[in-house]
Amino acid sequence: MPPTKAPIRSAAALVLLLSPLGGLARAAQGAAPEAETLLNWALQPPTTDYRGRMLFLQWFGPRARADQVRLYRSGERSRREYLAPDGSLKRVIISDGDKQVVQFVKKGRLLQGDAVGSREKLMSPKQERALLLKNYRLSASGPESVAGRPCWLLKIVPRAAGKPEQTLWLDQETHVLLENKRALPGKPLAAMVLYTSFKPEDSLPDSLFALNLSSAPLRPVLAPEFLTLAQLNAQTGNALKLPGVLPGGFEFESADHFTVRRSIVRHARYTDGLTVLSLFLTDKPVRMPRGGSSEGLASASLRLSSAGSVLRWRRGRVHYTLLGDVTKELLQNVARALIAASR
Amino acid sequence: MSHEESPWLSSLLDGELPDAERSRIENHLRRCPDCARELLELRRVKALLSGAARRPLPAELIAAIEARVERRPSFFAALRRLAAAPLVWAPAAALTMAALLMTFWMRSLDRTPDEYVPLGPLLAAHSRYVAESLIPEDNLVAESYSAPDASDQGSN
Repeated sequence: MPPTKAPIRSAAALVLLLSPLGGLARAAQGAAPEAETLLNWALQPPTTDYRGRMLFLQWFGPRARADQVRLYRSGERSRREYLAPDGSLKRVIISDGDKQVVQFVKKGRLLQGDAVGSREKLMSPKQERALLLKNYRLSASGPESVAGRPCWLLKIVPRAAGKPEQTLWLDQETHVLLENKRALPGKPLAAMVLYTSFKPEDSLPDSLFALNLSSAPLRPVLAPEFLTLAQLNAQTGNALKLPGVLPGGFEFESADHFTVRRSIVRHARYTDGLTVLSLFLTDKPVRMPRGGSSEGLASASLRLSSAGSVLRWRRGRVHYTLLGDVTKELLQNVARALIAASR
Repeated sequence: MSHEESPWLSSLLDGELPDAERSRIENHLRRCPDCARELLELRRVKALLSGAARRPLPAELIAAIEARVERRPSFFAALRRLAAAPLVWAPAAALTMAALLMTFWMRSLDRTPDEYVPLGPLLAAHSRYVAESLIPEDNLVAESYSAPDASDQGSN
């Protein structure tokens, strides 16, 4: 029986109760609220129904990717419509908070799985929030306008070098995150979501959020399991040893495993409260993106992908692939710690 | 002899000159004993050659020449001969076509050789996990984890 989302919501409510009331008073006076108050706004799910249109932008190396999305949200239910450049519907993601369906409109294919946030992680929201505050400095500023609405800014800057900075633009009235930008300073790696229009609604029709599965064949969306290292080893018959803490303030959060073309992939996740590093272990090498280099770490190869830097090395019969949107120097330091721990 | 009319004497003898040119050469012959003497010599050689007996080529020589001509067929003759022998070219053509089709098919499917694990499903798994982050980042990564290659995974 998988854990439900109830503990997550309780923790979020607890966090909100602990938020300093002084911040609200500052906001009422026209100054930006306390940074931690803005963080609490970002952590809670929006309570207002709304519709909007947003741009998704991603830069990695010399490449960039853009998507235009129509978004409807009502409580925990959401509907995202990805649009093709000509405005036609390309893909729809509908979530009721527990389940999620991805419809590929042109191919007529459906994927389904657990919705984002519907399962309890090993690290509680309170622990993860404390880790974020330990590894990052917060600052509040504003107001600035996004989609014609006044927003407060929350800037999240890492205490250690090599990690991305993130800035959040939070709507003053509804506390909805209207712009979210994450960038690695001085490096060509960034992602941004920006609302170009935003309209609060009294209510939205239920038909927008209907999980209409029809009779089409369904394929599962891979939703992560949150296993301890011992559970992962028991399920895969391995005796994998991993450090609990890595350079840069990263801590082990959870692991799981899945199959790709008859190969078992073990996936361990580390977080510093905001940035995630994924470590994949496979019995075959992972095909790397083109380009890149391998300087700094012998017999390893380093590449840039849409999700960040990728570092691959081999020890014995196990192939390691480390992935995260951090600098290559930090990724190599992490790899050295992982190699030392596996000896 | 160095007269400019000298090269035309043979043509005059064979009756190949136009009227105007023939008159000019004949006027010159009447005034030039050297050219008249040369024309006489040419006429005597021609008469001598036309009266000579013809001798047939030896049969062995003819056979040898014909054999060498047979051994060197022209390019087009070689092509015609190949086209007339499908047992030679048909399997080779079929193999070439099959190799080309296999290449296009593999490329169209973006197949990764079995000795590699493709990166796409790993990026999707990473992005799907990042969507579970404390600060809701699913907007930042929803495109990645819901991309078609995200479905190239078995459940755990």
